[in-house]
Amino acid sequence: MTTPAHYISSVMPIMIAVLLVLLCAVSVAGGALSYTPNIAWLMALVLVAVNPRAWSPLAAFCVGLLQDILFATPLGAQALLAVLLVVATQQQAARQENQPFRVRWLEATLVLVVWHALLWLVISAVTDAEPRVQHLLMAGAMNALWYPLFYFMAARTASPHSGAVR
Amino acid sequence: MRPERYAYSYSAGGANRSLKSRAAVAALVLLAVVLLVLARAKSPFVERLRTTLDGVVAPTMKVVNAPVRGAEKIVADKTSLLTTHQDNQRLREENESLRHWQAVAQALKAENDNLRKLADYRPSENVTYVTAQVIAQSPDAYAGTLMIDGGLAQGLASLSPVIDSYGLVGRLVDVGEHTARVLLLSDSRSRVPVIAVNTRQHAILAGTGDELLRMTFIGGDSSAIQLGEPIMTTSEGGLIPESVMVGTVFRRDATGLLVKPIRPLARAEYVRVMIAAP
Repeated sequence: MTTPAHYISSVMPIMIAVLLVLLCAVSVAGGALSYTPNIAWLMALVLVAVNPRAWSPLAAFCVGLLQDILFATPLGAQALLAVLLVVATQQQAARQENQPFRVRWLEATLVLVVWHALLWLVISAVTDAEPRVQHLLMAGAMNALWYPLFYFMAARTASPHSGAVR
Repeated sequence: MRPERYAYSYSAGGANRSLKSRAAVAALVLLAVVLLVLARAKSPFVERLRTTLDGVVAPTMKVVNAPVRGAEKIVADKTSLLTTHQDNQRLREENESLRHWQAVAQALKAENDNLRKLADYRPSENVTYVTAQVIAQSPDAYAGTLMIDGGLAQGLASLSPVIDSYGLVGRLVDVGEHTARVLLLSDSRSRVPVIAVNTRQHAILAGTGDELLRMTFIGGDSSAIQLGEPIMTTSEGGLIPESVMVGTVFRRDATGLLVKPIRPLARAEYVRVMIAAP
């Protein structure tokens, strides 16, 4: 049976993700372009690895679609890649469980670069934009730098052993 | 054997559950692909959907913006207190310089008015302005856009030029009822007709996805254009009024000239949309 506490703890990651995406889109006077993390993808990478029940494909799709709306990427592009990332991470989660953090980080970095390359391909195919390869590498590297923070926050709050989301 | 907690979707969680999960994933993927195919076909449905969704998230963005603006103001106030003496000195010097230029501008205006009367010149277009607040920006390297809190209800129209206090910022691309999206000059899809002010050479200014903009299709000898030369818009194509400041020539490389906007385009907090009066 779903209790209110369970319901709240299960929607909490989505609410946090939505809030973070909105904050990323705030027009900061200092110009925060390119330094913000890709929330939908990082949440998929860390939450599915820590606790698959905390981040469903539907949640990934919704947050990815919100990013498409706010960040002006083609509607469906980040949503599609976020869902695929959840599926890919689910497939690998059991294998990764006993890996040291450094290995996870390295794998996550590679995955993020590949996913940015896929986004680059989708944007190039769907729109007239000509994004540069240098940008996708920078975006991948920037997200890889954000990964440890997201990972440790997820491990502390969403892991089945932390008592938050089960 | 896989730990139980990874059985959420694909393995030991029961055949029904697994099937439902796979069907849900397939449906989401299909929906995303359909949206992308429609976007590729430039379907009006996707454009309407995007402007509608922009309108849905805009009120939330305004709420999220408020505390961030407040925090920025506090930081700016504290910083300005620390630099008051230097600011005062700088402003005195600027003021002296501006007094000189004010006198020059008044003399030129009088001369210009006289010449216009002599030539019976009538400006070809009247422009009105609508001021709007920037409520969101695209924070990744793939799209350079701003979302503003003005739309069709405020009289905005697609392709209208957008300026801030420094010069041209971009032009409108998606206009909803109360929100609109500005395609920044820096976006790789942006193309704007410009002129080098001193050498009077026409060119097309293309976004690169970076802070710098590239001058392409230069109509003349590009080597005559000097670094630091101001670049302004021309009215070629009829979409953008002439003589709106864009930036200055910043660098020359193997592929051409690069222009630097007067300030980073994404830092605009308020913008003005230029609307040509009928």
